[in-house]
Amino acid sequence: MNNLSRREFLGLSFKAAILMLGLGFPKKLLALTNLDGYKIEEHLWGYGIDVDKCIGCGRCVNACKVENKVPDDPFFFRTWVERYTEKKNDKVEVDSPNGGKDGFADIKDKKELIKSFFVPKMCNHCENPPCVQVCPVGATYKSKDGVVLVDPSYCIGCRYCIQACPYGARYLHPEKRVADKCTLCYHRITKGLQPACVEACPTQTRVFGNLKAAQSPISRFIRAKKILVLKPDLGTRPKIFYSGIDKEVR
Amino acid sequence: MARPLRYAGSLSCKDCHEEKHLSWSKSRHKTVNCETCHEAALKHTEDPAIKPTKPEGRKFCLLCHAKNISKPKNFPQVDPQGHNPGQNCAECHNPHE
Repeated sequence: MNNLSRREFLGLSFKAAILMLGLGFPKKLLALTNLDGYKIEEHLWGYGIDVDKCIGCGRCVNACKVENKVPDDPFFFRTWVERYTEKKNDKVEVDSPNGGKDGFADIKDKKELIKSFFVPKMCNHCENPPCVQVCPVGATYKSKDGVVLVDPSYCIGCRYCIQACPYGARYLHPEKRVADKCTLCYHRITKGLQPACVEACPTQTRVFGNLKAAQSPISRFIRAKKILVLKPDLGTRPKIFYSGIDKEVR
Repeated sequence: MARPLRYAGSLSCKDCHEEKHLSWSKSRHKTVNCETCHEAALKHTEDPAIKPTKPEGRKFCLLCHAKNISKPKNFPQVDPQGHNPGQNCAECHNPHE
């Protein structure tokens, strides 16, 4: 081996690297994406929220917590509902008691009130996700079908992504000590089921489907409604499409 | 990635509860899936002895139907203090019809 030339050494190293990648890397990718019969390249997931239909019952928040075992404390949420209250003198108040999980009590003082409405919030599954950019270990990534996910076995819990997310959609899991967020119920949608929040929504505020299929509920929603996304000026290109939001909603 | 499911999805309820499914699909609650009120029921589909929840009393109905200025105007709402206080909603209203 002492006679190994520089060229041969580099060649061997390259082959060894390919072999190691071949053994380890694809397995991880396969486990995440190549689920029975699920064709990842035929999907691009999108999500619609029709604010004019939301009644603030919080069934989505409850369903998300049950399905994904999100800690029950009132500051850990993968999705939550905010109530916007606009008053005279351009005063805007936003509240979300327990993430809206137990519903909202009616506003008592209606004197100064101009309007009030509910806005469900969650990860926006951006096309240009800032969280993916800042992750120092590559634990946060965007899947081929457009879902921003966290690999908890890679995450070191540094919280950069939590800071970077302009939508406040991430939290540090108190037991696992890793970043946690909405996965669009990836374990459900890859089996042909709907995310738990969509399943639980009683008023069809929440719409979900494949953006690559012209007849999917989300494609129809985008065609039929006047669509906005949150904070479009940031260039994150969210795939959560809102209908009926006010200028005050961020 | 074999993460456990908890919500079965309304289609799986139909297999056994066809009659309920039919009346529900014609009711005013037809946009409300079974598990919205009866909670996650995948375990019930695997073992029918494990019963899903059944909302009792007024509190659950009022999550959606209590009068609230922030709700869309055309959504059916009642004033809980003025509308038969103390009475169970299901005494007069059948949620499946």
